[in-house]
Amino acid sequence: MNKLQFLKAVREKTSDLPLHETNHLLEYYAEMIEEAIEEGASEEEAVARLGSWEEICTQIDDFLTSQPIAECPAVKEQTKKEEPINPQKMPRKRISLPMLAVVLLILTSPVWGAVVLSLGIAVFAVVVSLVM
Amino acid sequence: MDIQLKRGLLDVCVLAAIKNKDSYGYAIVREIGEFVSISESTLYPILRRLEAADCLTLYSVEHNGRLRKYYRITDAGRARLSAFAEEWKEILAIYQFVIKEEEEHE
Repeated sequence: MNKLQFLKAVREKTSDLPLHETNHLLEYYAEMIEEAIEEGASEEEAVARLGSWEEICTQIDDFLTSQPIAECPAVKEQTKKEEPINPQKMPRKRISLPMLAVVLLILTSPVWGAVVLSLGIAVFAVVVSLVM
Repeated sequence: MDIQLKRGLLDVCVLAAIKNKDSYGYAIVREIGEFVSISESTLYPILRRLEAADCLTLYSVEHNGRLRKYYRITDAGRARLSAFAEEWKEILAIYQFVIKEEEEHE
């Protein structure tokens, strides 16, 4: 396969892509072939060095389906910023927190109940003694 | 080698190849090729992914009457390289542990 045949095959393979993506891909492969020719390879050898057609198709498919890498710090920051405005998570938290507080208050009433009760009695006693 | 692991390794290999000076596709393949098997067609999706993730930028330079694309690492790309170095300290520790366990069972 020579350079033109190869590039034509790549263009056919990527005909579903937006034009700028196809052009980007064609520029890339054309550059790679030119580089190998500059190093002394023939056109056919240069094309053969790119790998088997099968491998090239696999790589193109891989690129078409792959998302930008998630671990990249720039991408990470973006997803972090989006989290607080997630509408599904927020309301659930607002309801569950007061309910949890009420349940905890009732459950721990034997502990603080006695304190509140004795304080109440003390205040009552003071008020009563002042009035009398 | 596991495909996901190799993909991640190739990403950082490419970033490492342009860490100190900008480079172009053919030279990157030659440089990394000494350590891992990589072809020109394997490099393409890696470069595009790294570009989409803002880990590198590219610009064209005229060379022998045609254009050659150069790749330059960004701050995000450098951050990713440091993160990789940190992660691998942990992985190395785990490796040492696994190897030790295996030796004790032999």
